[in-house]
Amino acid sequence: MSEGLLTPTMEDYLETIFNLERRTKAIRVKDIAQSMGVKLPTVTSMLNTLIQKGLVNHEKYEYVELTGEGSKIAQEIDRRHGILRSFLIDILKIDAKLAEEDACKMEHAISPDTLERLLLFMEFVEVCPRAGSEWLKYFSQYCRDGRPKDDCLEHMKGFLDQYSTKLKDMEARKGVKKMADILLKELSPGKKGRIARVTGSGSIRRRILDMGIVPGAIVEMERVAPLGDPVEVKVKGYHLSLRKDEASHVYVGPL
Amino acid sequence: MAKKLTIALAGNPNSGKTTIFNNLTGARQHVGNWPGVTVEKKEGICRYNDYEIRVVDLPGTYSLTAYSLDELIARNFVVEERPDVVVDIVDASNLERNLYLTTQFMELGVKLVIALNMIDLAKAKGFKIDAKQLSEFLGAPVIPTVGHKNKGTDELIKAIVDMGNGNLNMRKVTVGYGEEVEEELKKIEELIERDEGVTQRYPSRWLALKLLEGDEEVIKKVRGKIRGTDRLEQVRKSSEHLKGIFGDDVESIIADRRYGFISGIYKRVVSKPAIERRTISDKIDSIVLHRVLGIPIFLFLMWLMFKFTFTFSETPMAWIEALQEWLGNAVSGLFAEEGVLQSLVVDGIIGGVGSVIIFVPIIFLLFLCIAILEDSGYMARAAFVMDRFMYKIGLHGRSFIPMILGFGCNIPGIMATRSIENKRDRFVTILVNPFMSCGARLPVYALLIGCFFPQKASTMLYIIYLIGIVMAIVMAKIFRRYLFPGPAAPFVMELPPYRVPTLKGVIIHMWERGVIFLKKAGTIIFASCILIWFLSSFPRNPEYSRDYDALIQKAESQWVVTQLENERAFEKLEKSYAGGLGRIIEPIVRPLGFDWKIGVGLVGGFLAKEIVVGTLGTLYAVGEGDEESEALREKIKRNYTPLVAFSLMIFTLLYIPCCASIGVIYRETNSWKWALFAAGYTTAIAWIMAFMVYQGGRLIGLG
Repeated sequence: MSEGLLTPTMEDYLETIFNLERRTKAIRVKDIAQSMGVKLPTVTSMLNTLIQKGLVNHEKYEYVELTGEGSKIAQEIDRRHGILRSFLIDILKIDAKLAEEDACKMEHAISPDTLERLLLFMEFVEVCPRAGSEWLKYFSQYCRDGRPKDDCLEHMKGFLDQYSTKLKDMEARKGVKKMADILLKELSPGKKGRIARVTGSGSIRRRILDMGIVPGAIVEMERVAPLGDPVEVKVKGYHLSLRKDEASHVYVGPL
Repeated sequence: MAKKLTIALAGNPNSGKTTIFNNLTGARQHVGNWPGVTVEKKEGICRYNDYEIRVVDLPGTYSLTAYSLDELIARNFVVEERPDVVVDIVDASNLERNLYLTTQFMELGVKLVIALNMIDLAKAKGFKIDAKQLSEFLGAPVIPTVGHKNKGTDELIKAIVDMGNGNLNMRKVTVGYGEEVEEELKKIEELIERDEGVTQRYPSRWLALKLLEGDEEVIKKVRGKIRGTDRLEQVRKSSEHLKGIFGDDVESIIADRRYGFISGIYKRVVSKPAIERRTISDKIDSIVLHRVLGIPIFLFLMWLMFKFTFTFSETPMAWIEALQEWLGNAVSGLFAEEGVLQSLVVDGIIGGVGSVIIFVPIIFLLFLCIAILEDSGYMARAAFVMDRFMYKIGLHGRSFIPMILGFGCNIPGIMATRSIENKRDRFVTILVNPFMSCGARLPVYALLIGCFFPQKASTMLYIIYLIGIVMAIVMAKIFRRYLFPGPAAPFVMELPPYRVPTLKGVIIHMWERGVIFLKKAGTIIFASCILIWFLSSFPRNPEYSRDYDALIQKAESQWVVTQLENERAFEKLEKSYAGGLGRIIEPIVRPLGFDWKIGVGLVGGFLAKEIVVGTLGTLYAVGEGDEESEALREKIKRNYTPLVAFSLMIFTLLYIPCCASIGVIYRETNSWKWALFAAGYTTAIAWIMAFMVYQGGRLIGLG
C-alpha cells in the first residue's frame, strides 16, 4: 500500500487510533468518535475505507485495532507531529496550544526531506557552540520586544564570555590529559573552577555545603588575605571567606 | 479587642533583618535572652488596624542545623512556639544563598512570608526579579522591600496579617530530592508516622530529612522513643544505600539538591545582566583587603576609632562631672547636719550614680564607632584580615569583634562572644577579654600619663593598650593549648557588600549596647560604690592623732582650714576598713613599687577600676580626686616616679577584672569556677608583669 493514497483525514484517524492504543487496550468506535469530536456513522464509514486499505481491523461490535501496516504509518505520522511540535515550541517559541494545532495540520503536508532538514537544524541549534539555549532566549525576547535598542553590545560581550568558557571547556576535553581536580586553595586569584567534591566531616563540612559550596557550583578565587590566610572566593554571586585549611576539603575541577 | 499574632523574623546574617525589625516595631522593642542560653532575644510589638503583632527576632542564620546554637534556637522557636507566621528576610542581591534557609523553613511546614529585601541593591546590580513568579514557586507571598528606606513595610505587614489569619491560600510546595532520596525518605517517614508522639510537633518529612542528614538533636529525640532503634536502623540502611548510589554522603546530596531546587527557580525568576560589573564593593575591597595596605588600613581605623571616642567624650564628661558636683552641693544643703545619712546620699549614692553615668559618653561613642564598622560591613573584613593572626593564637577571626568591644567595656565584649559558635573559642575569648583595656581603666591612665608623660600621651596610651593585646594573645595561646585543646572552629563566613550605615540603625545599635552597659554594669558599679563608701567611711569616728576640730577653729586663713580638712579626711581613710586592707596588702604590692595608698586604691579597683583614682585623691588629702585634678597630679608627681606610674598602669590594665565583669563571666560561662579562675589568673599575671617592669626598670637605672 502506498501512503500517498492516504488523505489527511485518514492519517488523522490512524494517529488517533494509535494514540488511543497507547492508553487503552480495547478501543471502541465510540472512543474514536469522542476523541475526534465527530459522529458515530462518520467514524464507521471511515473505518470501512481503512479496513479496505488493510490498515485497520474491525469486526462489527468488536474492538478496533491497527494492522501492522497501519501501525507503521501511524507511528511515522506521530513522529512527524512530535518533531514539528517541538520545532514550533522549542525553536520558534510558539505557544504550546497553537503549536499543537499547527503541527496537526503541517504533519500531513510536509515532505520527508524538509522534515529531516528541520530535525537536523534543531540538532544544530543544540550542539553548535555559537547557538544554544541562551541564544534562543534572546530570540524570544526579540519576538516579544522587537529589536533591542542598545542591548546587542552587552549581549555580544556576554557571548564572548560564554564562548571563552566553552572554548576552554572544549580544549580541556580535547586535551591529551584532562585537567585533574585541584584543591580550592590552589586556585590562583582571578581563576574559576567547578566544585568537584567536598570532603571532611562534621560541622565544618556542613557549613561549607550550607554556604553553597556544593558539587557543581562555580567558584572564583578572589584574593588571599594580607597575612596569607584565609582566602576569599566568589560563589553563587556572593563573597565567602574560608581558611586554607578549610578550603583544602574542597576539590575543584575545570569549568 | 485587638487580635493577636505572633511572628518570627528569620534570615541570613547581613540580609537587613535588623532594619526590617526596626521598621516593623519602631521603638517598641525589648531586649532579653533566650531561655536557658545566653543568646540575645529581641522582641517588639507592631500594630496594624486592630491587630497587635508580637515580633520575635530570631538569630541570623544561614541554615537550620544542630551544629550551631543560633540555628538551634531559631528552629526550636519555630517548632515549639509555633509562631503564626515566619517572615524570612532574603537579600535580593544574593538570592541563591538566601533561599537556602527559605527551603528549610518550607520543609518545617510553617506559614511563610518572604521579604525580598534590598531590592534596590539588586536592581542596581542589574538583576530583574519576578517577585510574583518567585512567590508561586515558593508557595509563599513575596514582598519586595527596601529596609533602610522603609519601603514595602506596609505591604509586608499586610501580607503577614493575611497569611496569619488564613486569608491567603498558597500552593503547597515541596522541595524535591530526586527519586532515590525520596524513596528512602518515604520509608523513614512511614516509620515515623507510626508513632504519634514525635510527629505532633514536627512534620514527619522534616524529621525524616533531618535523620538522614544525621542531625544529632533529632536523633536524640527519636532515640528515646519506642521503636526508636527501628527507625535509626532504617536511617542507617537508607544512608548506606544512598551512599552506594551517589558515592557521596547524604548530607552533601541533600545540600546539593536544595541548591538545585533553588537554582531551578533562580533561573526562571531572575534575569541577570550578561556581564556582571565590578561593584563598588569589589573596588573598596581591592584597597581595604590589599595585601600590603590591608593591615595598615585596619590599624589606622582602630586608631581613628579611639581618637574619635576620646576627643568627643571630653566635653560631655565635663558636663556630667559639673552636674554631679552641683547636685552634691545642692543635696548637702538639705541636710541639717553632717552625718552618716548625708554622707551616704552625697558620697555614696550621688557619687555612685555619677561614676556610672560618667562612662556613658565613652561607651556610647565607642559603640557608635563599632556600630558604624559593623553596619558598613567592615567588621567582617577586620575578621578576614585578622583571622590568620587569631587562628595562630588558636582563636577565631570572630573572636576579634568581642576583643574590640572589650576596649569599650569588657562586659559587652564578653557578651558578644555569643556569636562564636565553638565553645572552646568562646571560653578562651571570654577569659582573655579582660586584658583588652576597657574604658573604666582610662581615668587611671589619664591621671598617671597626665602626671608623668604629658608630652607622649597618645603614644603611651597606645603602648598600654598594645601590652594588653599582647598579653591576651599569649594567654589565649596557652589556654587554647592546655585548657581547651581541640580542633579550630571554621571560618566559613560571608563578606557582605559594603553599605552606607543608616543613622537610625547606628543609633539603635549604639543605644542597645549602651543600655546593656548601664543595666548590667551600672547596677554593680553603683553597689560597689556604696560598698567602697562603707569601707572608707567606717569606723565612723576614729581616734585622730590631732584634734582637727580645735585646730580648724583656731585656723587663721581659709587655706589652712582646707588643708586641715583634707588631712583629716586622709587620716580618716587611713584608719578606716579600707585603709586597714591597704596596709594588709602592702607587703604584697611593695615589690611592684606601690605603697599602701595605691594598695587601697587597687582594692577599690576591684569594684570598678576608675575608683583607683578617686581613692588616691582622698588618700592624698586633696578631697574628691579625679584624673583632671591639678592638686592630685601634684601629689602624685611628688610621691611617685614615672617607673612606678608605668608599673601601676600595667597592673591596673591586667589585674582582676571589675566585679561586674566577673559577674558577666559567671553568667556567660555559667560556672563560678571560670569566673574565679579569671579573677585569679589575671591578678597573678598582673603581679608578674608589674614586678618585671618595676624591678627590671630599676635594674637598668630607671626610676
